Amino acid sequence: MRHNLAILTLVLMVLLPSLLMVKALHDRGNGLVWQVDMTGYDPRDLLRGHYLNFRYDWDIVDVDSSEHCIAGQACCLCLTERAPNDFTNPQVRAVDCRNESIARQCTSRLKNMNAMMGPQIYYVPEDHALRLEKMLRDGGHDFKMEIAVPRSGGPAIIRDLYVDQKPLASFLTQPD
Amino acid sequence: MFGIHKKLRGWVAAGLIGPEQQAAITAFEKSRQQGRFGRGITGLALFAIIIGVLSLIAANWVSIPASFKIIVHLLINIALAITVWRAQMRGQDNLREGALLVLGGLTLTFIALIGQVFQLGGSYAGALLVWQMAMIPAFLVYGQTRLTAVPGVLAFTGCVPVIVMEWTDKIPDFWSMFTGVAVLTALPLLYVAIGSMERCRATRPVWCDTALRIGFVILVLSASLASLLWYEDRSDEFSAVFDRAGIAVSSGMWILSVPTIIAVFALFGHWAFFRSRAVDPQFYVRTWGLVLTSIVMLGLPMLIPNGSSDMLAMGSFLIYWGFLGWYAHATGAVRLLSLAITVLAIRIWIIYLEAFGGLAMTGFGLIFGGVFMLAMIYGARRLNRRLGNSARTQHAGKV
Repeated sequence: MRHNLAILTLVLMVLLPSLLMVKALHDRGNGLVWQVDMTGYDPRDLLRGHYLNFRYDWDIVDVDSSEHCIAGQACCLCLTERAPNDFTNPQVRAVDCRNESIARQCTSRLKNMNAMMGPQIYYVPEDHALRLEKMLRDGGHDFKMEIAVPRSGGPAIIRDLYVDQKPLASFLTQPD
Repeated sequence: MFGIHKKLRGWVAAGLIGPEQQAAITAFEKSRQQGRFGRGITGLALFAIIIGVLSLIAANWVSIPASFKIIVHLLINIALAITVWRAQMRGQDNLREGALLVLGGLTLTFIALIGQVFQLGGSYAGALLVWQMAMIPAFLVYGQTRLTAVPGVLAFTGCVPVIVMEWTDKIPDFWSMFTGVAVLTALPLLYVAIGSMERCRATRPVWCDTALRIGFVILVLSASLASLLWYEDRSDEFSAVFDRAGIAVSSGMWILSVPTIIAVFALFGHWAFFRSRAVDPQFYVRTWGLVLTSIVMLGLPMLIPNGSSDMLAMGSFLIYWGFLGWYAHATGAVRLLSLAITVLAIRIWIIYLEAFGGLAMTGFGLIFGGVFMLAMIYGARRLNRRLGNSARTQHAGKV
């Protein structure tokens, strides 16, 4: 019994972090995939040069006061398609998470609204981070983040970054 | 070897040892030092190779496929886990402790790697929480020496404020302040309580001793730093925090005092139940007094926010460290005694410098302060030597 418990603690040490990976893989493969515009923000950051600092440029639409969430309540981002089967730049409303009738109107729901509205980071090769950050801030290029939103409404999983309609890896390898 | 030769010559000249003993000690030290240079250079070369390999990996990090990075990291972690298990079965203590320590570190880097590859936007607190949940059980089961106990307790202690702060960021300032006071009061007491438990000391002596020591370090540090709060009148700041939470000042102060009151009650409860069972009742009473004083020192500046006074700030610090010095003297803790005397000497010197205002006066003050400091160090060393000798004699008497 003690031996089994002792082995279990070592298994846990390897398994627990691996579960993070399994969940990320599951959410990435099973979530509904959206492409969302990105915008830059003040890049003062200790890790500047290793990450692309950005915000999601959500297309927030006004909502009816009856469905709007009140500050302090559990607020969700309700994502709906702009046109049928168009999963690019969804229309977004901030709604009360607990209101199931509103929830049914959303194509996807993101529970952690504050986190999704705030600054984000995306790991990029350090040789390119500053250039990409400048391109994003200065405009003139189309930056889109592809995210998978799990059906449970959990945190969105980033799938890939698209620059001028190309995945980042292809964009970085193309000749200037 | 140069130092030992000189010392040996001195000891021979003083008649402490004879020439034969000098020759024997020299031969022993010489044989002990043999191959040291070679081992040192080999170690340096291996270190350079490891850093070189790591640099090459880091330089090509982006080019390495994500799946490859994750699989290799996972395999290394699995190999280390197996090594810990096998070393435990074979009784190879050093190997087990070393592998466990490396596995602990690599568990954190594995979590970071998963976060990087899958671009998980989670918080540092979330990552540290998973790390601690994965690490603590294995460390407690397999860790048996300071090599794992000290980093284990320190890592846990470091993770607690990060995790708590992330949570308190989401709640009103008042409750954030309350949580801070509660954690700062409870954590060291918990360490001291666990570290003092007889059952813990019998089954996990190194862990208990480490927890006890770190608990006392946190208590003494926080009590000492809390004394600096007396320099500022904190009533306006506290009122603003209470206002934002919609709590009346009197109610807020009562709520804030709850952790200190609970801690004091717990200490008196401990006194009532355990004093008669203590192996060394005198030591118990003194240590209990030290813990109680530290808790009061920590709690008072929070509970009396309008009591700003330079004299109180200086006086409470000096009295507290004076008490620590007495405790060390009474319990025969010679190193703590030296530390207390040094801290007291430095604090008195700072107080002296604080008392001067203008540039000319500061100049005179610095000169006078320097002379005063020299005199004080001379006095402190004499006192230290006298008290240290007396403490050693007492300790030897007990043994």
